[in-house]
Amino acid sequence: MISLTVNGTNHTLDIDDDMPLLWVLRDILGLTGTKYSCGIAACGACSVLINGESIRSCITPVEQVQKQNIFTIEGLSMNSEHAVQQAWIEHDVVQCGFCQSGQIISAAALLSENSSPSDDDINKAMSGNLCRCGTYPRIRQAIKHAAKIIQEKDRT
Amino acid sequence: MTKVVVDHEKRRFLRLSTSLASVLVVGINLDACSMRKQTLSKFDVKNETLQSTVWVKIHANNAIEITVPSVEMGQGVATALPMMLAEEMEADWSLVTFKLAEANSQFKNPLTRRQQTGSSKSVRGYWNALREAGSSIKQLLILSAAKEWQVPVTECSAKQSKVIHQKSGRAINFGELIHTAQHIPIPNPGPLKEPKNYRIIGTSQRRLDSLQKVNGAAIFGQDIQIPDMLVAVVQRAPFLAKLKHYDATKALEVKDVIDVIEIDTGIAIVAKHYWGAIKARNVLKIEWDDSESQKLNPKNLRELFIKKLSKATVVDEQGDIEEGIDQAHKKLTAIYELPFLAHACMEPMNCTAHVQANRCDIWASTQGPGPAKKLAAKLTKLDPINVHVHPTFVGGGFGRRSEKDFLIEAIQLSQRLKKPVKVMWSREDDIQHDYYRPASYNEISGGVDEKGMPIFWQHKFSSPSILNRIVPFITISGLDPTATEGASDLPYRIEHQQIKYALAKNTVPVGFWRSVGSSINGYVRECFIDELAKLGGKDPYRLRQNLLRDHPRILGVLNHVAEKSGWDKPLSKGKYRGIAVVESFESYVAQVVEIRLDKTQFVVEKVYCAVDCGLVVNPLSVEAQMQGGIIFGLTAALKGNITVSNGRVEQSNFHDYPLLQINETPEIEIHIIPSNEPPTGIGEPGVPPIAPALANAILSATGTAVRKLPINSEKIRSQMA
Repeated sequence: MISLTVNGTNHTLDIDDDMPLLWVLRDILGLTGTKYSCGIAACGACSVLINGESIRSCITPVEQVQKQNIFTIEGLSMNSEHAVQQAWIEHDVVQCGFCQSGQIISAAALLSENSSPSDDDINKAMSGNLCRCGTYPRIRQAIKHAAKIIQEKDRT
Repeated sequence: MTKVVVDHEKRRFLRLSTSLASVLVVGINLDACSMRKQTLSKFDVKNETLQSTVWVKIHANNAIEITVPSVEMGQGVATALPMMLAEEMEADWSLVTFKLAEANSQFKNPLTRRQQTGSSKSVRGYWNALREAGSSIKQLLILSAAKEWQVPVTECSAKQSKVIHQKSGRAINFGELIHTAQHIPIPNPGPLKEPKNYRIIGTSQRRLDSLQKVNGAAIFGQDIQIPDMLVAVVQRAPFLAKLKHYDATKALEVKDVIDVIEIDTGIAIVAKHYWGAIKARNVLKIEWDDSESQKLNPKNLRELFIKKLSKATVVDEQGDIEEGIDQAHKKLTAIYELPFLAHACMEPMNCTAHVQANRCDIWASTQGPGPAKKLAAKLTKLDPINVHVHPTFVGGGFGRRSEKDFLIEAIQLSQRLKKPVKVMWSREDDIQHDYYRPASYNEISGGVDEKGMPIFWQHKFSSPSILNRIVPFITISGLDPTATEGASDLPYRIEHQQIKYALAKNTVPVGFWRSVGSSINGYVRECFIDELAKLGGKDPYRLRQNLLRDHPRILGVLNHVAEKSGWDKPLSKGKYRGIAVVESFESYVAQVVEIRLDKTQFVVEKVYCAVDCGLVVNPLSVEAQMQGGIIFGLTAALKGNITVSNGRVEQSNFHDYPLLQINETPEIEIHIIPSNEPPTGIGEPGVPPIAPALANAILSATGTAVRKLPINSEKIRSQMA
């Protein structure tokens, strides 16, 4: 049996130990906001937050993340009010939207570590998240904007 | 219970759903609209009986829901199409939401007569229809208010979701008029607004689908979950191979695996979840008879293209090519080779089907809900009325999702298993079983006169034909307009021209890939015009300017991008630039690329882009499509390469079919040319100019033309050093 904490909820599941977290989230728990795109940690669409870090759930065996705090896009905020989500809407980032859960998770992880990222910091944190529609210019703008939102919140 | 009021004479109808008395549902049948004056591009088939209907819901609380007949795959139609209707309806844009349409002949694009999204035709196709529908609804609401107030209709007007009676200073919300409106037949549209009076069209509006795409709620085909659903993966045959034998013993022992079944495209492994199916597929033993597949390898394909060239058919001819060759002061011949490319949508192909005795339900990320419905009806022998293709968001289409292979698999499996089945493609399946952007082999010659001006242009090329696969009868003459677009109708004024095409059959499956022929031929044309400029000692921008004097709109974007990029000003040391302009999908796009030689690499630093797509519906969306097209095109120019060995695609995932990353993305500046011409395509035209503009920058830097894609960065670096 596998016990798992996702978005603050505990689950006990009868599944293979080696099932990647991605498929547990999607096919077992029905949390489909986290996407499958490559299965080899080469695109970032499956990114989730584990202890605040952006992790590729497609290659993470579920047994390795028991007793850890896993957050998916569905649990990032109550009402889409996370600074990154707000900035994403403000800058009209999404196109097809399929990679964006992963992009937002990686951006949120970056900003939790570094509230004032430079272009290089953004490049380093985001280069593993691919987007076929080509939303990168707006992702960059939105991350900078989200950083400002966070800085302002910290000040008040 | 639903009450339907039909006005037969005008063939328009109005429906009130009385079970929800708080909402008025209005359907505008477009057959009666006087709107058949679209500019038809040359591939449009003859007129058919139209059944298009626009559906709008007006709620008592003033909320407006507009059904979007096109598929939203990122290109922004779920925002742009409602904008067009809301404009003429005089709706308050902040009250507008959208609903994606299911498959129904009512939702056919008036321009293509199909409910299939592609060819950058959504805004073009629905431009008049949606505005006229909006105008009719506005008239209906004005009539309703006039009736309530007992005042002449002519004294009333509408603005921001209110009808206003100027004289008395009265105003009433649209939502308060729905009960009166249900008893009034829908009037004809009034005169449409002049662009100068637009309040919504032409303004930058954020996407209506953003919220659900930033919180994980948006449902894509991949996300469909229905009770009792099984998940299948398919092991497909190499190209031209046949199944010899398979052994499923071990696969069936894997936990949660239900069945292993042979279907048309290969062997399907069915499980309770994707991971089970994948694990089982890894231990499935299959033997293919791949003797025919051996023929499909790079050497044979290249030889085929070269051999075909001698049998090329004339597409376009002007002047006398032999005379041009004779008169030329200097001549040049080049071989240009472009590779096959995969679409690599972020969402791999998938489809969920539930076939029952009396109905069939389909959920698929598809560009063609209409054709999907037709297909399912045919395969299940059900009346189309009992086939329901439910809308989902689409995780990238780029032409790949106009195909039917993934639909057929799911329908066949659900028929066999009598359960809902979701067929999931792995990334490897997706890269290795695509319908590829055709490869192309080009022999192109040109010459300049004593003044350095081009005097002849002879372009012969060979490539597989998409239409020959899909609708072979169209290509009986040996021509395929989708293969020759961008090469035929050369806009450059060159006295002697000849363009010839040779259709190469029996290669890998080929399909529509964002911007289709223009991504291939635009590259060759725009690179070679730079080669001729160099041959004649001309500036590539000034030469284009001269040769495009008959084409004001192409010239317009060319001049605009040259001005914005400061073309005539010298760049700092180590920097170089290139220019290209391509017209596609009735739009005009010119781009300038600046590159920089770094110590260890060459960097694409900045892209300037000017676009003329006629009247702009949503500038924010046009900017996004141009940015996206440029990045899509840069991926192809710098990285894209599909190779086939023994009938098998050698690439399999993003490690060997890489996409451009954020850290490799240049600064991009988009300039939109103001225009009141009818709107034209925007999803695709950003792609074609970027690769040649980049190649021309490299030509300027190294003196060597890039005649083969993808660009060999290592080679360039050594040439620049």
